[in-house]
Amino acid sequence: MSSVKKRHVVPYLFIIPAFIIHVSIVTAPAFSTLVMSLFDWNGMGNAKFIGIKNFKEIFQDSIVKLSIMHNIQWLLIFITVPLILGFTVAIIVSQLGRTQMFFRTVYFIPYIISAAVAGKIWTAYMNPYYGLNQVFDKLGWEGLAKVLWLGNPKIALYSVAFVDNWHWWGFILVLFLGALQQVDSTLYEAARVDGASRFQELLHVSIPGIKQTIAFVLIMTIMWSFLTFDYVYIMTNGGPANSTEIMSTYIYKNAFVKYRAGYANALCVIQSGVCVLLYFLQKYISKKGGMEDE
Amino acid sequence: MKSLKKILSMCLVTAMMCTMAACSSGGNGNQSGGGSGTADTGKSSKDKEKIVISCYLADDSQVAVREKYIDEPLKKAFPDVNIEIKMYNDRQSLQVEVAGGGGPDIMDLDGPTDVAEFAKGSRVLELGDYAEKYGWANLFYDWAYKSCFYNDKLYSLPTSFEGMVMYYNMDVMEKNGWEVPQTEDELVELMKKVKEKDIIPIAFGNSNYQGAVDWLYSTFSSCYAGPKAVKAAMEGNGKYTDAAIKDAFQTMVDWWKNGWIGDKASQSVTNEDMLAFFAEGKAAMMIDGTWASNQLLATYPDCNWDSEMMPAKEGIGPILPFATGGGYAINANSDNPDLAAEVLNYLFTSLDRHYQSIREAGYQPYPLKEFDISKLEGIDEKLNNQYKLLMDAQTNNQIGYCSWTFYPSDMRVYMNENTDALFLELLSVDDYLAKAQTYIDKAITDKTIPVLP
Repeated sequence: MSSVKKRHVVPYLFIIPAFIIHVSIVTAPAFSTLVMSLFDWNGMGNAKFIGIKNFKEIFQDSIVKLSIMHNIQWLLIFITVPLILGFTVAIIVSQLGRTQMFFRTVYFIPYIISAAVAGKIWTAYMNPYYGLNQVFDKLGWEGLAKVLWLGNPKIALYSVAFVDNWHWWGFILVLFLGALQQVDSTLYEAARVDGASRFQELLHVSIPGIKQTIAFVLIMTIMWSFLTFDYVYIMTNGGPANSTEIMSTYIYKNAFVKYRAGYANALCVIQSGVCVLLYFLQKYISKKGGMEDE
Repeated sequence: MKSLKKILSMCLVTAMMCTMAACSSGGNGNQSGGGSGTADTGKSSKDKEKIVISCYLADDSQVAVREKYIDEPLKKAFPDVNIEIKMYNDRQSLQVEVAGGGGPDIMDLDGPTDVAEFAKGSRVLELGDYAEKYGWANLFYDWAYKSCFYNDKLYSLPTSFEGMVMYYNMDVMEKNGWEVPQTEDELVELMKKVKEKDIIPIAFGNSNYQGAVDWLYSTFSSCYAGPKAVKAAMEGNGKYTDAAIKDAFQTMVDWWKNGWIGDKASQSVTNEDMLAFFAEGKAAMMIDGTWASNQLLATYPDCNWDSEMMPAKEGIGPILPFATGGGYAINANSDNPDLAAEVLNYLFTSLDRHYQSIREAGYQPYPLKEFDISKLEGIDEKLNNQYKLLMDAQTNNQIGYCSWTFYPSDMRVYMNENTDALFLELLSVDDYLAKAQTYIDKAITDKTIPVLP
């Protein structure tokens, strides 16, 4: 074998182990999901080929529509609240000197608490008989004291989203903070020399300086919003009366509670399709908006 | 250097291939996992046949009890068998393991509706031959035994015998001079008085387990529509939309809306809260299963409670909704199905062990014809009264139907998911019942409708 050929072969040999693992535990199961979406299967026995019947059912399933709407609501909340909050506080914290590490740690702490623990703790806080409502009652805030945070179908989704936000925004803050510290300080100095105000510095130096991070956070937020599961499952399990049902919890219920694994696979395919669509949409918008390089 | 790299990469690839090959050929799916206990003596483990029995997740104290009343007696009865009790963190782990062609030899499943799904997938053995060999048909109460049939075939054996009852906090009742109601009308009057005292009439919470609503609708449909109406609907001689059933569901919804059940906040309250509210006197009553008596005794030993059948509706009389809490099934992939059947037979025929487990550890009784309440001497009086209640209801044919034993699986899933929508006025009783009826129709067409006694 010529030395040129050897040079080409060796890198591939190093890649093969990781590639085999990836194909075995990611690609093949993903492909099997696609295949099984065409079957009527209860998750245990023999599967019966039914073509696109599962997909037809999905388009008539009112809970799927409801779940997607909830995912979109979730996405709108997460693409705004934690991003704005994280960015704003990151700007403030980045101005601090010695105390910066303290605040960074404090804000980041919720992120290291497991979703199961945080979900349970907040479920207790939101209990109308011994949670925050009792505090509101003592303070004389009768209106708030009577709110059923997780029991009222009109607000349950927002209550769970609040908890996930509480957990998530500290992470966004740290990402933005890290990115802000990478911005060349001479750019700020130059802006000041040119007479730029603080707001102009933010607009013309800080934001362009961290646009890659903003694009990354946006894309991850969009995808995670559609894949989220933990807090909803722990705090409300999709209830009350499906008011917090999202695609992931509905997929889980179909696969393991209703014994409809074939249908759950079809839902997974739709969910993945929506994520891919949103990914490309975000990429397109980011490029058009100058958030990412062409 | 280049050849060294090449050799290294080749070694990595080879090692990877070997590892994957080893993974794919490894074991029969019966390897022991964490939290399992093995009962073995005599012969070395390699020489012995092995039987794995699944069980629910339990804490250390529960495991210690199980070891005393199940593991150790099995070890003595089958000295030449390596019997492993394997604890599963959740039902999904067991389901996935079984779907993959492995899993325990004997599976402790959630009851007939759960077993039916495993039977649909041909993952559990048909037990007809074993039933004939061991005479199981004569061992169990007919209602419990028949509930284990799916598509006219026996797939499991009932592991417990339970019912839905009304619990009364007697301290609250006596303090306020209230009598235990005997009829629906008396109960309604009582609930009004309880509410006036700012006490929750009937504790209920399902925020951590939405499906707990099946305790309610099983009770209301059985006790206030009557078992005849439910049975007729399940057998195709009536409809689940019939007036009697509709009225019973409307009663349940109205009581919830009045704040009599769950203080209009049941979706924000957990099962544990519900028990605590009852035990601590925040609620006067509680609709719960007979299984709750053990929880009350263990967690709230000072609570002065009593349990009775749901106050009777005129023309129907007192009814106690019955259920089998679980079902033992044999894995279709078991290497030792005959031995597994023998082990099952031992569990259901070793009555001294069983009585001892009920007396000393509060185990739920198996639904056995031979079950003799007089052998539970020394048991807590409240528990004894509850068992008498169950036995009397059975003797007097006051049997109602709990959904997890007598309803088609998909109907139960639908009702569990949508009963809260009734309470919250997001769904009408008519639409809810009409949808439920479609599942009955489907089960009747498929010949998979459960057998009701």
